[in-house]
Amino acid sequence: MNAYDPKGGAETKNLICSSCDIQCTLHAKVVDGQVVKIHSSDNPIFRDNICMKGIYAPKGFAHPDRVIYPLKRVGERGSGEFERVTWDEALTDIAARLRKVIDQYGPEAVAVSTSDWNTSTENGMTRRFMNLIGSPNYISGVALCAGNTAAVNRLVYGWFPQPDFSNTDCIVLFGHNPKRHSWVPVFNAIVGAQKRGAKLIVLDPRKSEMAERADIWLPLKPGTDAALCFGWLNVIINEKLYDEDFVAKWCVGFEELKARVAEFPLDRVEAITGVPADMIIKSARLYAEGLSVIPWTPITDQQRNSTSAIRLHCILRAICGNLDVPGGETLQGLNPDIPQKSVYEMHEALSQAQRDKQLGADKHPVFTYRAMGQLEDATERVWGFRHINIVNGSYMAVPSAVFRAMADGNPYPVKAFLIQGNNPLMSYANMKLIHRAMMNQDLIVANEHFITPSAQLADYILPGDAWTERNSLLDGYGWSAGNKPSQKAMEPPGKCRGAFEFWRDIAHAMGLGNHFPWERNEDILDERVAGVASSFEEFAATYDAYLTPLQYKKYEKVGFATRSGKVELYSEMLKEFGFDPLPYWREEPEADPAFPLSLFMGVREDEYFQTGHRHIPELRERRPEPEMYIHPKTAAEQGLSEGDWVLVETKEGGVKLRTSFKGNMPEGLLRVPHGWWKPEMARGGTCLSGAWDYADAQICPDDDDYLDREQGIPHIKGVPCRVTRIANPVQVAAE
Amino acid sequence: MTSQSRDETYAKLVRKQKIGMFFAGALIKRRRSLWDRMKVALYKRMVPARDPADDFMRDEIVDAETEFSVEELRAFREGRTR
Repeated sequence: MNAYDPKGGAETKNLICSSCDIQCTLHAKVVDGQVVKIHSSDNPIFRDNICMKGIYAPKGFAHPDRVIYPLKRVGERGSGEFERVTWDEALTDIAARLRKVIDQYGPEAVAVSTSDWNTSTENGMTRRFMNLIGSPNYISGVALCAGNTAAVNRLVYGWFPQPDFSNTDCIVLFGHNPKRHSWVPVFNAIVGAQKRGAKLIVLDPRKSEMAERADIWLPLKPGTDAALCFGWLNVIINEKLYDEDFVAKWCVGFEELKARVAEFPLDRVEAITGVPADMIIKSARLYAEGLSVIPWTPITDQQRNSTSAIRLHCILRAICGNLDVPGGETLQGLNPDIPQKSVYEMHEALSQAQRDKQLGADKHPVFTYRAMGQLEDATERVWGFRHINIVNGSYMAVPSAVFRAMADGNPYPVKAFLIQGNNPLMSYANMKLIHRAMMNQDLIVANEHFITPSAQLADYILPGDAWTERNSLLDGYGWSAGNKPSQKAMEPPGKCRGAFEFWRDIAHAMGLGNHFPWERNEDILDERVAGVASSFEEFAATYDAYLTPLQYKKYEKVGFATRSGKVELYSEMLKEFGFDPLPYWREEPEADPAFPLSLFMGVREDEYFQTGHRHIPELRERRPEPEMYIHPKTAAEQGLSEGDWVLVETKEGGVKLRTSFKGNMPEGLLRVPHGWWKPEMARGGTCLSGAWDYADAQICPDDDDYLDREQGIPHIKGVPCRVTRIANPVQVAAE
Repeated sequence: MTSQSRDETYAKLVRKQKIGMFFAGALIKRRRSLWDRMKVALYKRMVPARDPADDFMRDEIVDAETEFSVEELRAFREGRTR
């Protein structure tokens, strides 16, 4: 599939896709300086790793609405009215206004929101800039997607492991559903492992595509992952299916864990999860009897009990002997030959006094400096660096706390907001709060491709380059030891610049140029690959990926990168912060009869990634409207027909969607897709290109009942809701 | 799994991993020596490409080998087509 035979004078470039965060290795066909085709790599390791978002990228990047010149707001904030300016004009004014905010409120009054997946020339410059000016208030969408999981994993054993699909006996998917067009390399790896004979356990309320292929499907109630893990541990500990040697030598707190697990007899777990006890026993035995993996999942990331559930995943890996062994999950560390971008982030430049001001760290410390800072000695001892920012998920502020400070000035004002490749208005919980927060800013700068709903609230929109238009080095977000080069295949249009240039230019305008000595993005790339190639150009021509042999059981020599040097089943650190030192189960809030149904949010359709791609005609034709998935029986009970427009409401607000019947949905559960807006609708004001009609962030709660305690991330898997039929929404077109 | 069988499995998989790295060292390169090319050819025989019929989620968009022309993209960029 997609084998490519270059002809007709076309040039081929090797690229890493950034249309989503999975980083597929692809080829681009270039004719007359224009990428005309994206197809999968001919490398046998990477072949078949492609999806429609990559295939249609050339058209997406050629869209007539793409921002290709710097824009400055001319109307009221949020009016969506802009005029063209030069980069120099924009940078001079931005620097002056940033200085004014810092002088008046302190450096912590500057916040950044980014995503990392489409900013691959960033090279650690975002945090470098923030640390040098003295602000700890960096937030990212990874706070509720992988980055937070990475931080929780570090608390337990000091790294975020990668599953070894090639050798494992059993794969466990907690709600995760990799498909032909989403998480494609994971999908291909699972299909390959199953062909080899690996078993598949899927825990998912609905019978997903992966559930259909599973050896065991456990239709648990949404948001009950932690309770199910307690059930597994109950079986595994009682039947002594764990690795007793490893537990004795390398784990702390096993007896305490055992006592906690005893609080979860299988009848209790069955009552919480809805999964019959015999199925819990059968699946627990399958997990524990051989080498097994629990790949990262975007589902456990986003629950009221997220920290406990992620810790329980970690505990299962550890006590069952699946940690840092082939066929299990490997703690890879950084590539020894190529510095990862955390090395450039300069966390050492941020004083303890400024770290202490990081928003949200007092109540929800897990991924902030307050917790991650306590791992610095251990991280240096085991991995050789004091600061490692796996999946950008370490050293973050808590998003909800940052937005409250932006909106209300508590505990202190945040008055400047820099956005890079991110649509924060729609990417975190409680959109009304975020809107109020953004409307209360002295300065908002968006580095973007399009005038997104968030960019519509900005003072400046600075045009970003695309992944076909830049050289970059992808280091798997510091999660794996592999590094992959991506070649520039065409020039960016207009005055678009890369993420590196964005920070370099702002830093120079702020007088920090001596800390940003690289003239071009390629200069820093040359520096990073200097240990293995004479230049980035040579590196990219030589390698599809740069790997070094994996070392297993490294802990036998250096221990784990935790404070105890062992796997912390029981966390003294969490105890010191005032939390339960063991994983626990927190019951749902009391049911509200006004919201009798349950709502699953946070996952987008295959055609789109997060809030992007709705402007690409071919993808939009496949998925023209946001759809609510509902079981036909539940729909009938609610008086709904297929195709009806409905208002789905939680106590936070409502969104409009079209009804779509899905027989694989459990009764009583609705699914709302993530990230909908309509680029063709009117900008600014009360429309914001449809964000006020369709964006799921409006119905994501962020009050204490719906925040994970330790991380402060929202619970969006099983939120009480109701649904009402409405007339077709009026669509106000953009001028 | 008993301790003994765990150790045996571990040793076997570490050996398998070394063989994997033997091939990966060649596969990850774009500039390949004759020896690398031989290794890649051997790997391709051992691990053939998946038959599209085995792709349970096969999709016409992936199969279509979609390609744009320079003029088509230019017209789209200029708002002359959609």
